Amino acid sequence: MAVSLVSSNYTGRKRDLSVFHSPDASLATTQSIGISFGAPSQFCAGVQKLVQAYAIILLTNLMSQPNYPEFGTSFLYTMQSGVSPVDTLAASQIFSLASYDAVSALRTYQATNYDTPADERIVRATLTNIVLSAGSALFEVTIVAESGDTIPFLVPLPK
Amino acid sequence: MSETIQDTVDRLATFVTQNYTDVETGPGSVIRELLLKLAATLHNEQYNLITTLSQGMSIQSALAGQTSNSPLVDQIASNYNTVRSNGTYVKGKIKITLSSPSTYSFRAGYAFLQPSLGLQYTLTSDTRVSLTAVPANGEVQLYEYGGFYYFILDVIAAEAGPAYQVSSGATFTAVNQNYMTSFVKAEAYGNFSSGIAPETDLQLVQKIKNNLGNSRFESAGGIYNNFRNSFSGFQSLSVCGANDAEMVRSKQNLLGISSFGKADVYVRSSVGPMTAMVKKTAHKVADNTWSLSLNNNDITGFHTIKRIVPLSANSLGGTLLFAPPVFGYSFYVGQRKNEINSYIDARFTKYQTAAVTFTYAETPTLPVNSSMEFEVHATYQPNISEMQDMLLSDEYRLACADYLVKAVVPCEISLNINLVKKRATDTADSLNLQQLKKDIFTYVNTLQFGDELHASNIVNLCHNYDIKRVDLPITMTGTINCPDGSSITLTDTDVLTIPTKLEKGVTPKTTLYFIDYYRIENGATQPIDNIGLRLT
Repeated sequence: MAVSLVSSNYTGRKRDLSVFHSPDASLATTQSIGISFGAPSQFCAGVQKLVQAYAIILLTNLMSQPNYPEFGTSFLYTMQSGVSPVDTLAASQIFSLASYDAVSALRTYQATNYDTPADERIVRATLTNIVLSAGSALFEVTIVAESGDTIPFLVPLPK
Repeated sequence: MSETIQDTVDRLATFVTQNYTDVETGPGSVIRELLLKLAATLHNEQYNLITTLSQGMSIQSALAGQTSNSPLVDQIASNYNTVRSNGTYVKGKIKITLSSPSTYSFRAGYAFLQPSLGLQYTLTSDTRVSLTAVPANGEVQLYEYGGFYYFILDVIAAEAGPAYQVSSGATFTAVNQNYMTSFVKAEAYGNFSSGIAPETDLQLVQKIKNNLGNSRFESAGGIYNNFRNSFSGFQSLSVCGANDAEMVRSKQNLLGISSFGKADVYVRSSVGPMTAMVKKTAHKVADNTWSLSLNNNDITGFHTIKRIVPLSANSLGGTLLFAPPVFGYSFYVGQRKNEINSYIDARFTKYQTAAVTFTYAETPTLPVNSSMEFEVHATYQPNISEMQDMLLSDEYRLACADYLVKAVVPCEISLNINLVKKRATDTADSLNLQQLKKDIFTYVNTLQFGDELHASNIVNLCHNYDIKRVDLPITMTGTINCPDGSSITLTDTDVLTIPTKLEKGVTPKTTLYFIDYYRIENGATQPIDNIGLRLT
């Protein structure tokens, strides 16, 4: 369903660059949201920024950033090492451990940055569905913000 | 101080946040992950490189470190044409007495130990003892006296520093004593020369500051720098000039009022007292009475005559009995001179002369007016003549001023300290009291002009060692050899203060403390420590 009122008023908020091609909320058609170059840059704030930060931490492999070895989680590395397509329990455990680290990193930052709006402050991230098949995995996650917002989204995994 | 990479990220994030309040820099943000972290990697390396290269930082870190001779400070000092003094080694002669004539050969480095002080000295060069009267190169002659035999070796202290300066007569053991089967004893032949410890980083930094600020002779600091750079072992000075009460030389005129342009420069050019020997011809003036004169260049500006002995009996201990010297002065022909009005003005300067009468019953008896060679030993401060010449030279002198260099007036100190040990099994060796003696030696001999000698400071030094307590009072005695030839004795148990006696030329601005390890009385080193430590 198309959204008729999309706000671009960022007053009182800190903006981040959006690395995803955000869907045009005013359109009701199927849109690609994959990462690609060449499209105009966009800002993001609010829950979209929260989801993006969570995803960046979750999907950055530990020790992949020179000089910052503790940033990120082991999620992507472990998944790429191979998980049985039928072993959803193992996949959910791998996700839970990594998600805990990502949420902790954000909450640690939030604890000392009191001016963060409530809808940008994460409370928890819950795995609501998991679909495994040969060569692909689909994680449906719901993030709960301090404002009470629950944001379901799909973790964009590279093939 | 260097920064961690996390410090740099936080610093950049703070900068962005403060200048662009709507930019997100938290973890997981694109700005932080793609921009700040990359920028921090470059910033951090450059920041730390600049910090390391910072001279101020280098000095700070060097001084904050545990070492006192950082090569980093040496490199910085070289930028200011300043180099660290590596110190001066004490040198001296040791007289070895044997029970029978023997020819020994010693390698350079053969070691002697002063057992009560724990000081080690080594032979300076390969030496062979010769029985012939005309020894060859690398040989020393073996003398015979009183049924014993002796020879004299040149030695140097194992380390640079003032603590190694010992008095004439101090006893030694040879580290490899079994080699000399006829060994009887080894003792210092004359006082050892003065030594200086290597400069610490703090001293070197101070030297840089001084070099930057003072290089001319207008100020006491400028004179100090020039002397310090030119004369090894130079310690300190005090300048008494116009409007100083000590400057009486400028008032010796009919009206008794000060004529400006004069200054007396009192210098200490060695840590401990030094002794020099000169051979002089004396004339017999009456039965058993002889007289000799010390010229101004014999032992320049000497402090005190300690010993006179016949040249033919130089192995004798003690001294012939001599009357108080009659001091005078004379100028150097053809040289620029200072204005001197009396022997008191000239005392301890390069112009000082003295006539000494002493008692000597020679055998066989010689007629009156006969002459004979004697050894005269006196304590002195080195380089007095050279310093004066520098201040009088065309290159350095202030044409409108008359700077007179004087060896500082000496106040010779002796101490008696009673230490109470913690455990019955403690000994002087186990407590390393040898080092305590060196500490006290260095403390007293490095007091500055105007300083007082406090018993409490000596007690503090004692408590650096594992003792129960120091018995009070500590008896401190000082003898000031005044420029007018008289002496002042100070005794106290709390603090020794240099008195102000202008008529004798003694004030805190003209006088400094000296202490020697052993006491010399009547020309002989006594078995009494000047730094007397008793352990009970």
